[in-house]
Amino acid sequence: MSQTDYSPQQVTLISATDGPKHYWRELWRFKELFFLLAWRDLLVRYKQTFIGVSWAVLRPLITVMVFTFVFGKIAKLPSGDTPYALFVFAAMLPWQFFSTALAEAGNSVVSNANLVTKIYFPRLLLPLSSILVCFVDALIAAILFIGLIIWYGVVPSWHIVFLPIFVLWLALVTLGLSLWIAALNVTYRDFRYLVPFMLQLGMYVSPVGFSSTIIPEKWLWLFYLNPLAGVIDGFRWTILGNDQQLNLMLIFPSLVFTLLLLVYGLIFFRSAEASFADGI
Amino acid sequence: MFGIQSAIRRPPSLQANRDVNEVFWALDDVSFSIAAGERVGVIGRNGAGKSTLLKILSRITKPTKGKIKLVGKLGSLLEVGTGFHPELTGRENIYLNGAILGMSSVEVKSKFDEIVEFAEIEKFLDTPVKRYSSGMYVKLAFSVAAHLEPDLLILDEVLAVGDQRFQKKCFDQIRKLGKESGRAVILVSHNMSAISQICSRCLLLDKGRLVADGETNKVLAQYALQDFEMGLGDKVDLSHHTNKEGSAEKARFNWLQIATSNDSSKLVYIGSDLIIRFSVSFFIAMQPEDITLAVEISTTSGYQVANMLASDSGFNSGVNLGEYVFEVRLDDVRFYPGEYSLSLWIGDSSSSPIDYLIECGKFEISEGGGKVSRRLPSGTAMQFLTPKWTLSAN
Repeated sequence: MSQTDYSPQQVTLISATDGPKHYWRELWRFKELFFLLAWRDLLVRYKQTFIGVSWAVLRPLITVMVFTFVFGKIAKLPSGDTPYALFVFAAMLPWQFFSTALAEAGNSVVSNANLVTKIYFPRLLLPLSSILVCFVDALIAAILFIGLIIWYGVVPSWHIVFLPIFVLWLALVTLGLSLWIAALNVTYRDFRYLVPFMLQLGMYVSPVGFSSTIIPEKWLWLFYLNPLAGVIDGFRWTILGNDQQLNLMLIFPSLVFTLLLLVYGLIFFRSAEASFADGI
Repeated sequence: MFGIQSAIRRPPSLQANRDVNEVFWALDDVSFSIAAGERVGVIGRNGAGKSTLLKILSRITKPTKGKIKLVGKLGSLLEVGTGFHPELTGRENIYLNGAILGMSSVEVKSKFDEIVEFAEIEKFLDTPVKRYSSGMYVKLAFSVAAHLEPDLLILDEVLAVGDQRFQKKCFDQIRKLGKESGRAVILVSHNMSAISQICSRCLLLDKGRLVADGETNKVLAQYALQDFEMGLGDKVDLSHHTNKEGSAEKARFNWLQIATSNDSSKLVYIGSDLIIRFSVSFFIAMQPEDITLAVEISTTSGYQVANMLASDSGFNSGVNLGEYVFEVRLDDVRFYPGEYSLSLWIGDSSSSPIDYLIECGKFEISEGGGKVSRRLPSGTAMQFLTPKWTLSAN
């Protein structure tokens, strides 16, 4: 019998009231599982598909082509001096990440029901790792985008240094909303139908196929309540340079809304987490 | 020190079609502690709360009340192959499953060869597990779990894997965990032989309550009795009773019936007459002096309260070949309220049994009855005696 003296960290108290005292430390302890879950989903993602990873490139490419044709060529919407394809792609990249990640992270707890009911780990890992997987997909699409930028001979301006800020913002919006949906989905499977529908509508109220500049001034406040509007404007501004506009005053509500979504999402998810195994 | 202490209550699941005020406690008043190196079995009928207990211990769900103190690292295996992905290869699944069970990749790497060897799947390591036979699949899954090194390992019905030989290998591995490395093991199973082979101690749950906690053999016997429904007046077939001794070559018990003389009442009270009937088939003729017949009565916790030999009552009779029915009438029963078990013995002149059926019947003494005018909490005494009291001045 090993008479080890256990450090206080190795004493776990389970009771109705206190959750793990050090939730964030706990999350860190499970970091390996986080990466392995993402790695699993990546390995499985394109198994038994004919064109494999090409899907990650093909989907945004085709959508960009269609949008360029419909909004640029037929509707002749303005894109400044930027080629319309690049203009759409700069928005399609964050949008497609957002929509796939939201769909998958929103479903992550339910689709991993076998794990949730049989094993303990911080449930937050599930939406987080789903988002990571979609991020890898987005990186592959980004390579295509870089190729396209070079092909068009566009030189990014100094704005590009702000890109990480908008990437982070995008990740936080996605996480914030995913937390709500993942937790609600456990009790109300309605979200399985609601989310694709929301995303379909969302693409038309976000400046994906068109520029934010065409929105009438009196509706701008409403338009920018959508956190994706600020993010997409930011992507265009950082990648495509001076030609694009970024009104900090206007995107500010987007930012505030994102933070509220995230903070309350975390609180909500944490409180719902305890009963996932019972409710799933 | 290592231990779990718990006093759990959980959870008030309100069923939609029931009265909303009716609260169902899946577990209530369950307290125990487990020391390092102990291998503890948890048994009980379906719905007794075993799985809920394990889910709470492994932190999958939270208790509504009470608390558990866990010291050290916990590993739980509530299902073989949790998180296995059919599309991934055996090798990939070992790493994934290891992480899910709480192993670091360094740990998995260092034990990788051991795991593969234990599972006997070297040749198929790079084949997707969806192409595995179900036997290979569970072998691999169990092997990963068997190489976990938590301070407390929780296992739920996971031992029924693979062929007999592999099962034995698993048993040995689990025993090794406890004995050699001082890890505690909690095992839930309906397989009583697995429990008795692995566990030295046993917890018995019934309707969410802990009703017994002790040496495995004793608790298993109590469980067998609890599981066995025998109403008053039922004729119970004894041919399949397993807890027995003797070869039953010369004679064999056939059936048993416990009744009371008061037919209008379905209950036995203090003061009732208890009638025990049983049938015996004799395969040889026997002289009176060659037969010992006895009826034993014990409490459910195994304490013997009576051992009634036929000869004590002056009953001696020889038999020929064939079936005989014996009736034992115990007038004016004085046992305290509670459950009692009954064992039957038939032996020859040397005190070894021909057929000895241990705890093959049971009856309950109910509270109340005409003889008793106060409450008699069960277990507070053995017999309710009403001797003659007199008073005289000295």
